[in-house]
Amino acid sequence: MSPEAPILEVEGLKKHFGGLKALDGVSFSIHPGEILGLAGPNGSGKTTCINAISGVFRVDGGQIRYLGQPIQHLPAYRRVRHGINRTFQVPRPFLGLTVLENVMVAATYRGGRNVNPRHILEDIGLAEHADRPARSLNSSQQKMLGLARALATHPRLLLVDEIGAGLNPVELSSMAERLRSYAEQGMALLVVEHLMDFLDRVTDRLLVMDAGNTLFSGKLQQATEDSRVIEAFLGG
Amino acid sequence: MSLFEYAVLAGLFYGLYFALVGVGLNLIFGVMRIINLAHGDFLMLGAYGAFYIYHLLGWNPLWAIPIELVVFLGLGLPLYYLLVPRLQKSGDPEMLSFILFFGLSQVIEALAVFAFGNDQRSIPTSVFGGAPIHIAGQIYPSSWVVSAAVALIGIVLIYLYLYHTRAGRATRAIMTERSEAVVTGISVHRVSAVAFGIGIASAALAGIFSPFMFGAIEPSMGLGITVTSFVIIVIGSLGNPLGTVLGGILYGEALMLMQTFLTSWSEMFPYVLLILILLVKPSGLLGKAVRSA
Amino acid sequence: MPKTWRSTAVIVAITLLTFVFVPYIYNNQFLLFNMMMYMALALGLNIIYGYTGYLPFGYVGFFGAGAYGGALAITFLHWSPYLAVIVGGGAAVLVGMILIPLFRLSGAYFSIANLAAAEALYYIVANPHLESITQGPYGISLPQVYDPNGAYWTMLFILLFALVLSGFIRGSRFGLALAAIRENPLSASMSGVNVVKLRSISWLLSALVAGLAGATFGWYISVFYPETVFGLGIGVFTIVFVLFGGIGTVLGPIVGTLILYGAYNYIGISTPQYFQLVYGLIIVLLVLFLPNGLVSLAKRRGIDVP
Repeated sequence: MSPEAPILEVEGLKKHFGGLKALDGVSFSIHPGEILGLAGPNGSGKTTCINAISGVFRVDGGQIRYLGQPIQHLPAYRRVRHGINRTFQVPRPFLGLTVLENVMVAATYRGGRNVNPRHILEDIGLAEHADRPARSLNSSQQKMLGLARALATHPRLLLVDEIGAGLNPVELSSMAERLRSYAEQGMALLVVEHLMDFLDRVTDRLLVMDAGNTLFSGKLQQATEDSRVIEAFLGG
Repeated sequence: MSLFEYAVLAGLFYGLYFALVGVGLNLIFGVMRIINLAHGDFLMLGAYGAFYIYHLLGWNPLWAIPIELVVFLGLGLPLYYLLVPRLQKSGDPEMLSFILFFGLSQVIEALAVFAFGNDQRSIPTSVFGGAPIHIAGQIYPSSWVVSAAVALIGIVLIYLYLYHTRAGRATRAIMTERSEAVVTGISVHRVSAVAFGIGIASAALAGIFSPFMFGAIEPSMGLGITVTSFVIIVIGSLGNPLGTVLGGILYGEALMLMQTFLTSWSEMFPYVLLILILLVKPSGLLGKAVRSA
Repeated sequence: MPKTWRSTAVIVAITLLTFVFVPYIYNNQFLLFNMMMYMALALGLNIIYGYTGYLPFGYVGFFGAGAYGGALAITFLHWSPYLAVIVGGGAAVLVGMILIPLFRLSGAYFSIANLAAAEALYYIVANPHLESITQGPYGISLPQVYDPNGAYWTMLFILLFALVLSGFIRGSRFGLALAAIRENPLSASMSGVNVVKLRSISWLLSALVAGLAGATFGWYISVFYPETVFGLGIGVFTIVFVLFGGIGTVLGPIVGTLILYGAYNYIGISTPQYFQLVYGLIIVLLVLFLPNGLVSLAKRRGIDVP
């Protein structure tokens, strides 16, 4: 595979819940080492997009290609083993297990490469809490644990769902730096975020969604001057 | 096809009665999101109440209605404060309530054996006047008609409470959106406690007529009735007390038709029906699809 | 070797010695047999409830399926009772496979549906129309293979099998994955765990233990009726023993059964409602004050329970 080939191509993605069209034909692609920011008002389909790519549910139409292969029929755990992972907007750790065990599950069950869960905890800054139950972590620590769990599966494509919410300015800038460093190592990232300032520090490539559709695609700088984007954010 | 017509009308009587059997379980689930696995045991207690009022005092079992409504409403309120708030503070109230009320059902059943003995009991059907009632060319025991009529009145009263009183509106607000209800200043515990009381009082009310509808009563009848109630409220839709009426009638009709035409398989019917509905349409016939995020 | 596996080896050794030597000083073999049976059932139930959080309220359905599966193999195929016990385990696994779709339901709905399934199975077996196969309500009689001692040792073997299985699961990555599923199925699948497959495996293992125990029970008593082996009381006892001892451990179900089944034989057999009252109260108090059972008392004091 040539370095120019995208790792992820999403084409005409559709998903509806009852009468509500959560995704109505979204298309985009991401290359290895690239970060794509995904913004949009509440309910515009950002998280639905991550759920669709990570396999939480089956889509109703369209195609998801990963490394050139269609994957929309694979169950979530198979996608994980192929190198797709994600974080959750509201962290979902294994509350009753220790911090270390949380990461161990992911490290053992993603076949292939051996990962040392302790190294990951050190990198993410949770090493000193390794033997505490995940229940006892505060919410931003639980967020970091979610990221650690995702990293333990050695993802080549990481879907990040509003990880900035609730972080203080210092944490925000170190998180931005962290995500950029993953990209520099060749990981592809889709970063869903409503904090424009945070996105600005992570990437300059942006997709704006509204009501399940692509509203804007291009440079972040242009988005702030685009009348449709301004209307969706301020008018809606 | 007079056998068929007979079964259909009998199914309607039984259906209304079954609606009353299930409505309390559904009300408690709808308001508190807890599963009262002792529901059938409260019904059993109501049944013994009617039995002793008839046999010891010689009164018509209908007198059990006002007496038991007061007793069980009065029992429900303290029981609520004793158990439910604690459960709701736990991580998984639905599953824990299931286990806790199972324990309670065992306690009630054991105490009932001490108090009433293990024998099957019944009340002669002639208490409501001996003559069977003729409807549409068919003949039905008068006790069926009375049971169905009382069940209908009971459900209408619950409807009036929920839709035409202030407390009832607060109850429905809690059912739809618990957290919003808390914010708007509804006294959640007081409203829930009353709903809990109504829930078990309606079970006791249904119990008064169970000697006629089920033939006989015994202390161990509770669990079977709880499962039957589950079938009924799952058909109608969980957490929607009035859906229970639809569930009760469909269940009554199906049961009567099974008993008439497929007798030996009719006993397993409620269980198979429950599994099928849970698998095919867990939200019930009237339910909106409920999805966890 | 994980620490859990070493402690399990100790528990296995103690259990083996106990049930080999106690018959020399205590001659109520049926009680000892039942004790082993409930221990095995408690461990079996724990595999699905303790490790994955699904409470099978109709667990006795597997027990009954095992008893009838074994009895049919003896009656119609004239197989040796040892083979029949394996057939019984297979029958329970088969029922378990049929019930796998129930896992689409969550929490209490799964429990209720499983209860309904056990009742439906009971009414099928007891149906007079099936008299030529199951004897319907008239029950099974197996005088040709009557051998309480053979059944006793078989049950001991099943108990040890259940112990080893539980200990292995607890110390393995399989057990860790089951715990992850219990805590959060979605995050488990996002950790690469095949949730459906692992949950089904633990479900079938759980069914297997109950089926083996049921077939051996049928063999031991050699005359039984549908309500003997499908009685909800068996499943209820098992659930209470597990809850009391402590779910998700190897030791909890054993200790819970030892204490409560012992108490049952002391106070319960002649007037079962006394015991029903006691365990009803125990359940209520456990849920309110000690939801993780007896072993959590030790855990709170920092003692690691296998």
